[in-house]
Amino acid sequence: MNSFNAILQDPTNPFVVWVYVGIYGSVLGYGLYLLWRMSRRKNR
Amino acid sequence: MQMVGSRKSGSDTLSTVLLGASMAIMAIGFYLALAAPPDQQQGWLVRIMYVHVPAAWVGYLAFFTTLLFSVLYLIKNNPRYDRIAAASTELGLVFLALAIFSGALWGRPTWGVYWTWEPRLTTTAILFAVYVGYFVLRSAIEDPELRAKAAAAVGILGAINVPISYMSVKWWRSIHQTQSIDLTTGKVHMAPEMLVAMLVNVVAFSLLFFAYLRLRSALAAREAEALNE
Repeated sequence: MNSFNAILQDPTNPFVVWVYVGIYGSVLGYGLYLLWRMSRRKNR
Repeated sequence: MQMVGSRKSGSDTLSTVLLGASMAIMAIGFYLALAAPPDQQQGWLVRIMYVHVPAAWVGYLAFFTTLLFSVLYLIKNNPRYDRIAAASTELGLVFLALAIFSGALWGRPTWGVYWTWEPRLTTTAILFAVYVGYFVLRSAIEDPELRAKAAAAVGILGAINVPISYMSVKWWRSIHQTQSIDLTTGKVHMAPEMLVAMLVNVVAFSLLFFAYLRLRSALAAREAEALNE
């Protein structure tokens, strides 16, 4: 649990940063995937 | 003016505006989340809340939208409503999965475990499983009308679990904290800086949901049209 305790104290700890990357990356990635499918459908 | 899910509503002005607005507000929300103070007990780990709560909220919003359009489909028998309900369910699953993922990563340092079968997590897992079942059912039925009707039934019945999941933290007190913003009483249990950061992110995620809903419904409309050609 020591590494987890570090997260609680340190604002620059990469753990939360990776959670953010995962969430925002997935949300925006899904949008890009939709736009890609839309453009593919349009070009047919 | 075009209805959501209609053939021409793909990359229309409203979708573009919604996308742009959600991205701009999301950037502000991101900044506010990083600028918000640490929690007394959880320290900087509380930052996960600014993405976890909006993702869970959009999951609920999506399944409520599914309920609405499932009912509309059964009343009007218009396939557009079925497409919107299916699009909303897909989005609900995406956002609920993100809420579960971020919740698990939040749970490990605060509770000591990634997952535990306590009421909120259990009702959320059931919610997720029901809407996965929604798509399993859709893929198992070939007749479009029967498929839409069966899916609408699942969309309506599945939504019963949304308020149960929301209220579970109050009805059966367990390890999961109660709502920071209690919609039943209007009480807020949060510092103002934290509240603003969270609400801005909730608005950003909600706008993004509506933008994606329009895109996904339009895509479904085009796919249906291509099948009929």
